[in-house]
Amino acid sequence: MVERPGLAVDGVSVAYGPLLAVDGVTLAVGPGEIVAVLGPSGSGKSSLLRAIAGLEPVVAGRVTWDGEDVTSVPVHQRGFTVMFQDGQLFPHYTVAGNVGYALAGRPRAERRRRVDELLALVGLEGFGPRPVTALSGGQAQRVALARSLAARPRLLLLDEPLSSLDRQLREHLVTVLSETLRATATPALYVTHDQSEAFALADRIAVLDQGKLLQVADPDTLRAHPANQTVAAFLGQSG
Amino acid sequence: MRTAPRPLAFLQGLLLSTGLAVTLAACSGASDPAAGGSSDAPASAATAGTLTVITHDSFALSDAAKAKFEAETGLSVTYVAPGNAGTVVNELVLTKDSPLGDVVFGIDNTFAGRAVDAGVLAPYTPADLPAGAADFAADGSGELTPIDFGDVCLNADTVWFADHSLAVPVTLDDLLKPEYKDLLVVTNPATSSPGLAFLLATIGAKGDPGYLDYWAALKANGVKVAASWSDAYGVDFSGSSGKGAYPLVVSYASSPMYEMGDDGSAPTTALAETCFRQVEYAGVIAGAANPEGAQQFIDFLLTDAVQSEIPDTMYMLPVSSSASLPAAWARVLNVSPHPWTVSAADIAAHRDEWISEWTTTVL
Amino acid sequence: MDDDGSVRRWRRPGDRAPAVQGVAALLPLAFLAVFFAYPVVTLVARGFRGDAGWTLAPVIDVLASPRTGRIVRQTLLLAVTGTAASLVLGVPGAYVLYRLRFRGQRALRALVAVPFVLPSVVVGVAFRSLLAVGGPLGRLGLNESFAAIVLALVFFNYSVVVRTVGALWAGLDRRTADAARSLGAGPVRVFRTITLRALAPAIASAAALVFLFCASAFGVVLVLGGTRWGTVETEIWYQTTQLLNLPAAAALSIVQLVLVTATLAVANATRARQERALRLTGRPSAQPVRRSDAPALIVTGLALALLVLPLATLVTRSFRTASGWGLDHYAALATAGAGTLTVTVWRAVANSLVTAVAAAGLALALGFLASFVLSGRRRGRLAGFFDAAFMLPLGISAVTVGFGFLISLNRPPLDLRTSWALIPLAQAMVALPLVVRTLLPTWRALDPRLREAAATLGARPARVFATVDLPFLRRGLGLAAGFAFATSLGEFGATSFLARPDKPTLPVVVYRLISRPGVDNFGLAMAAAVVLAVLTATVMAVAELLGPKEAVGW
Repeated sequence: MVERPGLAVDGVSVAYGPLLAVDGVTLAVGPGEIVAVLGPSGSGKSSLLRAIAGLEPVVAGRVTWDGEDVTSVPVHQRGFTVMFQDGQLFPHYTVAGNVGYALAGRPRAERRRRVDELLALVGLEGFGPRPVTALSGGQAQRVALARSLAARPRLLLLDEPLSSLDRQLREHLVTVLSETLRATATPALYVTHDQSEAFALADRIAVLDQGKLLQVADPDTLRAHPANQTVAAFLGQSG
Repeated sequence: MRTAPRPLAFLQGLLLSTGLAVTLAACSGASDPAAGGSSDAPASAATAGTLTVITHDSFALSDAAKAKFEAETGLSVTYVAPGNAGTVVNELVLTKDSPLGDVVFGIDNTFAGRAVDAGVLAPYTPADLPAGAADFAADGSGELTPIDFGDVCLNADTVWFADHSLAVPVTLDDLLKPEYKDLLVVTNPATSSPGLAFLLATIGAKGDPGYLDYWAALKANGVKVAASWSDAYGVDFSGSSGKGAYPLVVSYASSPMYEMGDDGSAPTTALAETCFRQVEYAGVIAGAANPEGAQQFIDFLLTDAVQSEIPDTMYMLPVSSSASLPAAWARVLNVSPHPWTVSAADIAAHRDEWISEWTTTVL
Repeated sequence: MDDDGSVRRWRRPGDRAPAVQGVAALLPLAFLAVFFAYPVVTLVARGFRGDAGWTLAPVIDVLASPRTGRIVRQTLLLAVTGTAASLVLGVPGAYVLYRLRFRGQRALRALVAVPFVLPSVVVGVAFRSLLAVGGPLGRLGLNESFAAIVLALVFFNYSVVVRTVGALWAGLDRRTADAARSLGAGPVRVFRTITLRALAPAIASAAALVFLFCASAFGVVLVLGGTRWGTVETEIWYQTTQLLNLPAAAALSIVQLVLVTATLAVANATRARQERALRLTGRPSAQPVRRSDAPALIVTGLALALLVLPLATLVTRSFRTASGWGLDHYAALATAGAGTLTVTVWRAVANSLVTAVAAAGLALALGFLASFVLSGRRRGRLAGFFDAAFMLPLGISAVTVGFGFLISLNRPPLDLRTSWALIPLAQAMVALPLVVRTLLPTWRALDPRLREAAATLGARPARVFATVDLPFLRRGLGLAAGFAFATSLGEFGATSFLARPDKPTLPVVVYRLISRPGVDNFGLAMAAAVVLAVLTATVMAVAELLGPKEAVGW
């Protein structure tokens, strides 16, 4: 057994010029665990996610996986995939082309089987040959989810994946997301400003404000014992 | 290699190594199979097998004649036409230390002085100049061989004059008469070679500074100045396809031939008293890689075969009196018996000054 | 941040390794250095060399002379007026041809591109025929006037404005304007405060290009300006090719360099200031024609008339024969013009096509690399320099370059004196800025998060490039290829200095025919010019089809 299985973030800081967007955050995501990072807009939660993915440079601290330092490993070699807020589907590929993107180099039959399997998982059987430009917002996000899971990432990073959808669709998709992540036992870090999503989905919730981690706890503990007034105010206000 | 600048050597190495040069070679090779090694440096490649001919942009020879020359001499010839006569001379002056080619054709008497003064030519006089050619020889330098000539004359639209019951003018002085007001279009001597020739005709006729008074009077009588010959002849002249508003234009003695109808009648005529004679010369370029080939080419230009095709291909008249003229030329063309002349040396000495004084007076 | 020592070497997806970036930059820079900078500098340096060593005096004399002052004033006046007129007519045209949607629009877009690549000799004669006393528009009294030159400049540059501005306009998110309207702004205020500001970068970019084209106009000014109007370009031609006055050539080339640099600096500053908060829908937001579009339609109609009339003159004159009207001149395309030419016109067409393929290929390859480098995330001072370097050939005289070629590429190790390769090389240099201007916006319009998405899915940088960048760029490449090809087809200035009489290109043939007397030569010249125009329109129409669905501009 490795000493610290899964993701460990140790005192990570991210800066934009003189501005410290993430300030010494320490956080872990264990095997199969879903951790939500909850915070108001501008709290630095997306920067933290981008730093973990390798999309943003880290000015201090380190990111490890199973105890191994990946801070300077390039994005494409980390095995962490990102599901973006607006999907970022490749407009020049079909649905199947998008979902199968991470499966490059695998035998064609295996690729097709995996794509079909994932489309079924997100409830889009038979959508493979369609152009992504013809999808609705909810469908596009489901394709994005399928695409992120195709290569069985060791960690899935979700950056406000539902925030551009309407409330009803969001509630439905939270369930789809939750079931899919549990079904595939994919550990995930879920960034959101919506505490209902966080509470519905996460094993543990990390509250971030002005770049600093205020509290990490399971949903019940968090609700019952907010660590300080800021956390309490944030939960109260948005709940 | 001592003259090769280091950075350039580096860059070329780079180009070669990255395949750009290969691409270029492929391009030129693909479309230019016959040229073979003709792009080799004439100065550095001392092979007798190639010859580079520099001409003005009006140069033309039939394919048959070119093939004949190559067959007879075994030379592979590249023709380059980098501009009009003035441009060609200036380019030769600029590239004196690393000449563009072996032989030049198309230096006319308005630029001959500059070429000779700059020393861009090597002496050569063909052993047997054809009959008549000697009449056109340049002033004594022995570097320029006359090949063809043509008169720049005013052209008149005879149909227009008939329609307007007006006599066609004859002399330069006629043009100052009130009945010919607003009828003449000339070209700018600064930008047009017939324009310069016509300016020289007036200098030959009126002398310096008399020509300035003449031009002041022409201006008062409504002379129009166009930038180029094609502009004046093709747009402003009433006697050609442009159907313009001016029945008098600066052009060539040979121009009426090209306006002839199918019945052989010419609606325009050249005014023989208004002409300046342009002579075009060929010469061996100083420092030529292949001077023998250059001399052979000049001899070739003087053969009856080439001289006879000059009217059709270059719209000029052959210097050789033994060359045959096309039937129409022989019938219609009136070669001016007394063209106005200015010596090449005078032209070389005063050319820029005359043009700038003319500009001040007329424009 | 990269300079911060505490950070390890860091690259975002889409940031290129310095080595890759460097190699990609080196090739086009080397090309520019050898085939542009070196010849130009060599010629200018000659101007500073007197009989007794180096001297500044003659060059300074030329710069201080009243003649130079007059030429520079005329150049600026022509360029400013030409640019302003092109914008006034072109911006409504961009709206009509790219923002609205109607039948026959694609054909019109191709038609608009034709004048841009027509040889200026032909355009000059077409305009003169229109405006000369007794011509169809002779009554306007515009013959050899300032207005005539400006009209011809607009004729050439209209498509530059329409295309550049139209490209941006087509993709502009209309909701921003809708929002302004809902806040109570009238149509004029919406246009002024929202639309015009959003279009500003494209307008600045178009204005800079048109200004450069106008300031370096040669043929039309020579023909239409009569004897009263000149530009720095015509003056360089005159001083260099006719008088061999090298100090003057040097002084005027320096004037051009200053002019180009200043223009690019102003344009870049405007662009940088405005480029930030642009919202593009990425999806065409064309709209059907409405009654309120009438003013734009009327202006565009006028502009199209200005474009079509001279072209119509060419066509008409190509049918006029000695005995009336007929197809004689078109039949004569298969001949060598009764001895005037060394080859048949069709053969010249073939020469032109071969040369244009080589030139366009070279320009595309180099332009691809250059735009790759320029589209990089980092836009420091170096990138600005690089960007400007590729625009320089647009503003520097073909005469300077052509004469520079003769005296710099004439000795080992690079001896190309009389090589055919110089022609496609010179043409590629003229096409290169247009290729870069066409590819760059496409490349920059690519959302960087698409690259990030690909990288998080495990794609190596090379695969990100191949699967994300390239498919996007392919759409711009078709159009760039079309422009490069059409520009090479019509290029005359530099080509005329390097021409090979036994292998002339189509514009050289047209020029030669037009310089000969007789109805047949003139008619054949017009027929050949019509062939050139049709060829160009076809190339541009195909490029439009291959090009992106939404327009891409310079």
